[in-house]
Formats: sequence, structure tokens, C-alpha cells
Amino acid sequence: MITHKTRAADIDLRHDNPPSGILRLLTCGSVDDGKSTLIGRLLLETGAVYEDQLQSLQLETKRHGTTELLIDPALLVDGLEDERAQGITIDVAYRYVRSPRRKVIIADSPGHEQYTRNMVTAASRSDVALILVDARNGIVQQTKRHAIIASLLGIKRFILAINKMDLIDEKQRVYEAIAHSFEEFSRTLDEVETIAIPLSGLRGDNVCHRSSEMSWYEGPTLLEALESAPDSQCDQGDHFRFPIQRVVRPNSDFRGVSGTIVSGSICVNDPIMVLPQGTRSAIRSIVTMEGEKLSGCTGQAVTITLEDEIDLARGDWIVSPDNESHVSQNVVAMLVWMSRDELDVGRTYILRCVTKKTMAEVESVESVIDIETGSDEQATSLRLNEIGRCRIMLHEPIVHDHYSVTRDTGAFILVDKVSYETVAAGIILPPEEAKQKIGSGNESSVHSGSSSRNIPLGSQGARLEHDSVTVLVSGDDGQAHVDIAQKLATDLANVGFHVVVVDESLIGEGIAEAFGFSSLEGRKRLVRNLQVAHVLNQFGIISLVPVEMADLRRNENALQMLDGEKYMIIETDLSKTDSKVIPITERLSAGEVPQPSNHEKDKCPLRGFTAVSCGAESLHHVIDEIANRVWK
Amino acid sequence: MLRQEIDPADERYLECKHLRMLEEESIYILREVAECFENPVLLYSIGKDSSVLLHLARKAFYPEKPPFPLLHIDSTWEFREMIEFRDTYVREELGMEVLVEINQDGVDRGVNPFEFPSNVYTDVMRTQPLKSALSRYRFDAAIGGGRREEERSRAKERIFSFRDKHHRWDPRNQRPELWRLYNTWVHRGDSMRVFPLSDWTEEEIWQYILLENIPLVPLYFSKDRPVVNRDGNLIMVDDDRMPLNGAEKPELMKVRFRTLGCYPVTGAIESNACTVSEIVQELRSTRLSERAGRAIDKDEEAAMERKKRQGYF
Repeated sequence: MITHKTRAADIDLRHDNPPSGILRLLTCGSVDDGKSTLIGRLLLETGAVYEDQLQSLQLETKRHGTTELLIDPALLVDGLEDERAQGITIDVAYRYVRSPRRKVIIADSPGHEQYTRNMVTAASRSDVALILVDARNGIVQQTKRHAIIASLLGIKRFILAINKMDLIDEKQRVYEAIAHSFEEFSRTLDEVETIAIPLSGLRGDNVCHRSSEMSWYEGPTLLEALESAPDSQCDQGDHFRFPIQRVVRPNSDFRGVSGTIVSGSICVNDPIMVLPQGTRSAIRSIVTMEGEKLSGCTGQAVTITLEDEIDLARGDWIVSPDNESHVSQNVVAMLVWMSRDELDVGRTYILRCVTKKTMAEVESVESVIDIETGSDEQATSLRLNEIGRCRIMLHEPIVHDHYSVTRDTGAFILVDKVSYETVAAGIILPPEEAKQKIGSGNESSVHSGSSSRNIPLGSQGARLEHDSVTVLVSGDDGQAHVDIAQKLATDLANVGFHVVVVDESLIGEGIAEAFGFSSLEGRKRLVRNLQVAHVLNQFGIISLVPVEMADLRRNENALQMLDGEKYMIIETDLSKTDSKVIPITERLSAGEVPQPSNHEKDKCPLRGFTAVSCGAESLHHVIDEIANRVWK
Repeated sequence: MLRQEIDPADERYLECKHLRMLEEESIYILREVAECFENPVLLYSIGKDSSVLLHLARKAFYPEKPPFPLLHIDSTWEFREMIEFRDTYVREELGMEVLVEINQDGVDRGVNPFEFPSNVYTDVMRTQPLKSALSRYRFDAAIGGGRREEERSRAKERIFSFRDKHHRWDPRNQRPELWRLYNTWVHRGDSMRVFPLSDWTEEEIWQYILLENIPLVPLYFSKDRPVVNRDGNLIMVDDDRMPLNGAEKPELMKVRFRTLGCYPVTGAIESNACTVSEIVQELRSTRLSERAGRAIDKDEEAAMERKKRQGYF
């Protein structure tokens, strides 16, 4: 009979030094692989089980145990839950292991038929995945399925626990074969690091204590592997990110915002930017119950006050000016569908991303992952436990990261607005192609204060497939030409051009408000807009500048700041149902354009430029004309 | 109340990264409750977990006061020192609003922990007044100090744990809890139990009390107290309502309590630990679980789970 290891050793293991942090561990594997026994063993040997609990465990082992041991470690996990009787096997349980150097939170997810939904719940916060394999069977489909889901959820460190080594011969050869086979398979996953450990949960070999029977194995024990794995806080990046959780206003003298620093650090007086607005200020103070602090860093829950009284709300982010987060109203995401009701494309759901709540619709489902093979299949909807790539349209812009960069700020949930059921978990992906990055107004765009400053002007344009141009979209008084500029931008973006509309919605709120020249008179506004367009041109971006015809005529020399080759003027006319490209000189001679008086002519020749006459519904010629000019 | 100077030997805890991670997590949860619910309440039982919870709430909302009241379900059988701590420290010194709920009907019917089975007593003097207070004040979120490590049915409990109109927990139908994106939406009448200390262990609670110098009811610290040995439990004779058998005679023993509840059903342990630091040391060598002295958990198999389904915290 094999007896449980002595208690004295356990006490040594338990606590001599405070642990360095918390590691969150996902465990998966089917019941027959010995997962309960392994977790039970880990709990026993790290001293997580007390004497009175051990006593009842011994009684239970006599009654239900399937081993000759005094204490069946599996009963510690299975028996505790009484799961079968309660019918709650589908759910995740949390257990706690305390080693001398680490606290480990185990999210124990049973590998039953509802595996996806539960594994995603357990994996969503885990740093490391422990995948159990029965040494007698090697890598099976279930192993791959678990690895695919864990990897999809952003887990980059795997422990392949090759269990039941006590039951096989030729241990080293079998271990190497299984480890190699997993290594081969894991190359299809995203940047995964794996440690393969040969062990026996039942006997405790290589769990907390090194096995004398496998002296050929030189790697870490399971406990050592858990102690040395980095926790998730190490992966968050250097940029200061502080999503606002609460606005604090106890009295009229104090106005602060509370939240947790997701990444980076901040000091008093540091400049900051608020997203999605883009307004800037600086840190005035960092407030805690213990007094004001001079700095704060990743993982701290603090309250911040700013130098300026700017508009702040829950869901906004305070970031460093060089931040790399995104503001957008459309996202491409992996959705894990968690509801029995099929995904309803076009239906409005509540979306929560970090602390921001908004409404959202799934615009389209592009593909579904075959969880057996990891490959993409065509799909139009998602059912319970399916994972698919979707386009989501939000009712207002949100700040977010790509999930691969920062998990806590790159994920969201969808909630049914009637039943309040959580229907989906979402993982925000980078847009597949660069062309979707900068687009028509509300497409995804990078808010970046100065990251491009050191790159020589013009060199970025060279990387794009097209040349740039400034297009002045002119019109008479009113909104029509502005609308046409927007529509033109959307159409151009849809065919893959990098395009920005330079108007008050781009510039007004950000620059003008901050510096108090929102009511610039016509000329200054035109000069400013053309200057911005010119800069964007140098980065290879097509700029559309809506402008009133009268302003343009009066300030024609403002055009001098543009590169003569690189601008064109189009004249909009809502009455037109077709568009025509005519050099303005021809139009003048044809009498189409009223001749300006001699006096006006001197001031405003506008000669020699291409003009396009078009209505809102007839932009195809305009697009062709722009394409001809910029296509390399 | 006891609040102590930190022993230099314990300074290493000041750098405890895991305690700071747990602290941040709990503060985040508390702030989410305040933002996402209209009428939250903090279930305050005067014990060490409640004290840590209250301390975290004060930190989370500073410089404001926690934006919710405390609710104490008073079984009328609490230790006298607990009530004194509640009234002098929490109410007067901290200025917190403490609502106290007593099941007067149970008092009138003479329901007590001596003559009634523990499940009946707990239901009448704890669960019923809790449910009635939550309904009467229309609280939509109740924050509690439960920890998953404490007891088997809690290992499966969500941090934001949904309760229907009858305060029932349905372990088979829990909301998935993904990342830190808590689904906090409830319909009118439904509510949420929220457990910001879910991932803490007893040892970490004590380390944090040491680290943050959190005041506690003195019953946690060893002292000569009058106790009788009843069915293996050391029960303190706290007032003259306690009936003694002919053979029983209270004797002074150096004891302290690991958990606090109703005095007639809470067993003391023999101990010399008079400071938080000594308690942390003691915990390292003890081989008995925290709830070994609590009668309520043991009266039937899966007792706690059944109580929770009925609305017990």
C-alpha cells in the first residue's frame, strides 16, 4: 500500500516566503486522463487541505475510493462537489494552491460536451493552460481541441502534463514521442510555448517532488513550472492606459476619476490624453486613502485628478499621448456564442468593453472555426458553443486594444437586452488588411499623438499602393457638398484607398476647441484645412476638403501651399444625375459656367484645374478620375 | 478593538505582490457594484472578512465614503463585543450608516440556538431577516465577504452571483463570467450577490489585516475567557441566557475565535496568539480548517449549498 507523503514535508512546502504574485491556471483534459487526481495531489502536497478535511476524506476513500491509497486525491476534487448528483458538472470551479513562491488560482473546467462555453469562461483570465494527456493514449483530438481554444483565448504558455507515467514501460521514449507530437501540432497555434512534464498524479511523481524513476527527465516539476511562469501583468505593455471606472465628486473642490492602471506608469505632471475625445491635459494628483502619491503603476487601483476641467465619463480612457490604443465604431471580432438562441444578425445587443457600455449589432458572420481542425468554414450565423469571425457595428465609438496586445482591454461581452443573458464573448482582432484601417470617418483609426514624428515625411506614402492627392469638394452655401465629400470618402475607402475628410468634425472638436478658434473666419479656416490636407498627402493619404465655392474664389492663392500636381477641384451640383469630367476651360467656353466679371476674374482665376460636375448619386466618374491620378 | 504597530519582522508583507493583486481586484469589483447598480448594500457581519471588505470599500471610494449602507443581520445571539465594535467603531468612528435587521417574530417565538436544530435556527434568525431586509429596502446588489476557498459549494460561486425574486441561487444556471466584464444587468426584483473576496484565502485575509493594520473585534485575539466544553467545541458563556447542564461549569481558558457568529454555536480554539502577527504564525502550523468549529456547516451533507439555494449568504 502506498501512503500519503508525510505532513512535515507539506508544512515546509507551505509557506516560508510570501509568494511573488498570482498565477491563474486553466486545467483541461477529460476525466479519464486523471485530472481530478492530479489537482487533488497538488492540493494535498502544497498543504491546501486541513486535518479535519483529510479525516473525512479518509472515510470517503474507504467508501468510494478507486485506489489502494489511504487518501484518493481525486475525491478531494470530485467528491467535494457532489457534482453528479447536483447535475452541475458543466460549470467551472475555482481552487487555490499556495506554494512557497506563488499563489495559483486554478480554474478547473470539466471537458464535457459543453466544453467551449465553459472553457472560454475559465480560459478568459488564465495565464497558463495545463493540458492533461494520458501517457497510454498520447495526443488525442480532445487535446488539440483544448489547445486550440486556449490559444484562441490568448494563452501563450502551455504545460503538457503527460500523466499516468507509472502505468507505462519505455517511459523516456513515450514521453519524447508525445512531447514531439504536441510540438508539431502547436506550430499551427499562435506563438505558444510548451513545457512537457512526465508525471503521475496518483503517485505524485514530478508533481511537487522529483521522481526517482524518471531520472532522465531534467525539466521542472509541475510545481516548479507553475512557480516560474510569468503572470499576465507582465504582458500588458508599457503605454499608460487607465480606463475610467468612476467619476468621483464628493464636493465642488474635488473632481477625480477612479480606475485601475491597465498598463504603464504615470507620475504627477505627466501629460495625458483622454480618449475617445482626444483632449489633452496633465496629471495633477494621484489620490489614495493613504495620502497622495507621486506615481502609479500597472495593477494599481487609484484616483487621479487632472490639471484641466475637461469632460470625463465612465468608459473614457486616460492614456499617455503616445498611446497605441484604438478608437472605432466598427470592430472585427471572434465571437464565442453562448446562448441557446442562434445569433441574430442585425439585432441590437448590449456590448460591454472594459467599463464602456454601448449598443451593438453583428453586421455579418464571415466564418466559423471548425474546433476539431482549427480551420475556417463559411457561415452566416452562430449557434451555441460555436466560434466565428464577425463584423460588429457599435452605436458609438469605443476605445479598445487588439486582444493579442492586451486581453483585458481587447475583449467584450454581448448581453441580450431583454433577457440580460450573456450571449457572446468577443475578442477584438486587428482588421485583416491595412485598407480598413483608415477610412471614412468612423472606421477604425489610430489615435496617436507623436508616434510618427521621427519618420521622414513622405516615406510613409511610399509604402502605400497609391499616390496621394487633395480634392477640394466645392459647393454653394449649405451642407450638400459636405455630404458628398463624406460619401465620396466612404466609396473610396470601400475600394481600398486611404482617405480622410478634412473638415470641422476632424479638426474642429480636437484642435479648435482646445485652442479657442472654433469660429475661424473663412480664409483662416481654409488655410488651416489645406495645411492639414497637405500634411496628410505627405503620408500618402488622400484628403477630401469640403469648401464653399465663394471662399475658394476669394482665397485662391491659399492653394499655393498645395503641390500643384496634387490637387483637384470638384464642383458639386445636386441637380446632376450623372457626372462629367471636363477641364474648366472647356466648360467656360461652352458657357456652362457663368463668366465671372472682370473684377472677379483678376482675383480668382481658377483656371487650368480639372473640374468635375456631379450630384450625390453619380460619383463614379469622380472616383475614376481620382483613381487615375493616384494609381501608381 | 485592537489595532497594532507593525512588527519589523513582518515588513516583508509590505511588498506582498499577491496581496496587492487581490486588493486591486476587490476594489475594482466594489467600484463596479457602485456604478452598475442603483441600490447596493454591503452585508456586514462584524467578522474579519467583513472588516477587510469594509476597509477595501473605504479605499475604493476615497475621498468619498462608500456609496452604500451596511446591513447587519442581527440574530440577537451575537457576542456582546461584536455589537460594541459595530456601534463604537463602525458607526461612531467611521461614521458609516449601519442598518440592523432582527427577525422580531423569531424573537417573540423564542427561537434560539439551544432548543432548535441548527438549520431551523439559521433559517429563522439569519436567512429570513436577510431576505426580508433585501426585499423591503429594494436592494439590487448585496456585497458579501464569502470566499470560494471557505466551503465546497462556494468553489462554484460566481463573483457576481445572480438571485431571482425569491433570492434563490441556481447553480445549474449561472451566468458565464468572462474576463473582468461582469454582466451586471438585472430585472426589477431580481438581485445580485457580489463577492469581492472570492479569491482570498483565510491566511491572506490575516496577512492583509497585518499589512493594512485593520481594526478587529478583540475576540479574535487570545485572552482568558469563560468556556464550557460541549460536544468537543469550546463554547464561550457570553451572557446568562446560556443554559448549563448540571455537569457544566464555565472555566477560564486562554482562547480565541477563528470565525465569529452566534456565540452558542461558535467554537473557540485554545491559543496564545495575542497579535495579528502571532495569528499568522499560528495559522501556519494549524492543521484544522477555519470552519472546523462551526456547527452550521456540518449538520447535514451539502448543508451550506442547500442553505445558499434558499437564500442564505
